[in-house]
Amino acid sequence: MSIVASTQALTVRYGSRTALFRVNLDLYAGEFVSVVGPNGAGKSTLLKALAGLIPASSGRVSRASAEAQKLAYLAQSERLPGDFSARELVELGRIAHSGLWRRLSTRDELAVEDAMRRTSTLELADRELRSLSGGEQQRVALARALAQEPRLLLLDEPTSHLDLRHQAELLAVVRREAEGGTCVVVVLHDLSLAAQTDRCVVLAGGVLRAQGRPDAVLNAESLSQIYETPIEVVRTHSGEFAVISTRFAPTNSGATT
Amino acid sequence: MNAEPIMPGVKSGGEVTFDRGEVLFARARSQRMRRAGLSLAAAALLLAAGLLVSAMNGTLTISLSTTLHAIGLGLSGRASELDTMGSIVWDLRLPRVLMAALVGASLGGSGAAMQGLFRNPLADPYLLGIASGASFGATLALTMSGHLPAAFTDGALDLSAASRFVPIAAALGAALALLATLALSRANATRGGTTALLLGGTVVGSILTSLTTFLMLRDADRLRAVFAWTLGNLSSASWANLGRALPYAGSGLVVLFALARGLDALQLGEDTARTLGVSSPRLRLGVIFGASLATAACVSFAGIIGFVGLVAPHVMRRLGGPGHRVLLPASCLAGAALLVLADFGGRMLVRPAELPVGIVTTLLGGPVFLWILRQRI
Repeated sequence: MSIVASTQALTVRYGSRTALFRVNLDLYAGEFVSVVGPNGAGKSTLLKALAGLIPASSGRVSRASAEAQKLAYLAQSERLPGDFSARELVELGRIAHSGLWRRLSTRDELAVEDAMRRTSTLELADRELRSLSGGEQQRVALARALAQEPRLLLLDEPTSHLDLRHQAELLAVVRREAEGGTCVVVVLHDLSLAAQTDRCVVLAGGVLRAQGRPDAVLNAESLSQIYETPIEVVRTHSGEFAVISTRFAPTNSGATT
Repeated sequence: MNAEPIMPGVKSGGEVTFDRGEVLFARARSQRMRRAGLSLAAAALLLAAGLLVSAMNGTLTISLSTTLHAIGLGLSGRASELDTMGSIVWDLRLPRVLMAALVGASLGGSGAAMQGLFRNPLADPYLLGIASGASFGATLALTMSGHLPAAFTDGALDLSAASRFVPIAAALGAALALLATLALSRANATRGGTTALLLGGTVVGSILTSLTTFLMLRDADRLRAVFAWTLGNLSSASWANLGRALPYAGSGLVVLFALARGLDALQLGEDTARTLGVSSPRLRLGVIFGASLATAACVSFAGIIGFVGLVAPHVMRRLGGPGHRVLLPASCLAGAALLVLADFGGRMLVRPAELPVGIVTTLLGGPVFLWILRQRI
């Protein structure tokens, strides 16, 4: 597998605060990577640094291709322009290819249609964004990123505000992108969702604490330590596992696992 | 087994079917194009009608045929052959209505661009203090060049007596005010949003208006004329002034039009725009440059006129959609139509006297502002 992007001893400081400290990470084509960690761990900072939005204070970020169009970024709770139609929004993604002055070509239109088909948003094409539900808006926002036909897709908490079904649907779309050869990096708060990705990167306090297959990385002991709260990892019958915090469980409960 | 080749969307009978999503996807575009075309056509039609009605009416009502005849003669370069009526149309009214159209277009276009830049439908050259910046720049240039008294001799601003550099000074003043408002609103972006933006603009505008008044007070004889100018006034319009204003307004608007797609991208936020290859700082500079030039042209030749830059884009966004490639030209057309009609109203309501056009637009636009604000907060 070819490397799409990597960081070497990446350190990012905001003033005197160190958000990321000497992070080494290689990202491969076709990989579905989740980034997890407590609040303030530096997850969003890592994504922004990979997107080239914030400079490295020391160390470096290298990408296989320097072209902006090889990368798509979906910000955390991106504020969508409510009066744009879904199709108009997705078309904005093509600016990465067409620039600001060229009209959209047939090729661009096809990429837009394809991105909307993959996110099941074709039927929303003529709707104003403000009239869409949270899940629909998030799918349209994802379609905009897919329309860029990126090799590196960076998503910052795309599943926040979504219910279980919409979380699963969105991540299923994203997984298919990875299977198509794109490297997908997604910041997730929900560790049970992260458990279903190919590789899990755990950040805490700006330091990369662990990375690897989710079943290896997401164990109760280290997670409890990292999140500073009691955490249990539960296997389901179908072999998937769920990560739960037991902090507010009733003390006398006979919790079954 | 059926040996026919299987193609998606083509039934065995050769009948082509589409799925619902594809139909809606295709329709989204055709509907948008139709909407854009209709809104542009409607605004252009309103402008044409406004120009004509405004050229026909005034203290004297002149017939349509005489008006058209005078315009025809004037356009073919035979203005010297015009009779009195024709001359009223060609020499007095036409420059005035065209100046109203040019100023209105500049206000509408720069209003739309600023709303895109600030991502806020309440941005407007007047409300954000940019018009005050332009008037300060113009006044300062007039004062320093010693032309202030001469410029305000006849009850209205007459730039022919003054330096040709007044609009440039006005543009610099406008750019300064816009930079200040931008800095204030960005510093407060995390808290407030709309409130911070409007308060910042109000404060910048008040300070610059105070400075302008201070400069003008030194010449108390002409206060009335100066006052009329700050209220927005088109009575100084002439072919010569129209020729002076056009390069500034035109080049400012061309710059803004060129940035339309960039403004679209900016609606996704600065970070996302940057990953699309759109540089926000450069875009911001471009909008400041274009909007300052266009606003400066307005203020130098017509004084401070509020709310056109707010109302025109607001209406056109609803009619023609939010994409700036349509919104910017549509706002120019609508702003032009709006100001032509407001000036017409100002001349007709109290004739033979006239209301400064700025009063008319503020009376009409103020309530619209409050209505948008109510929806927003």
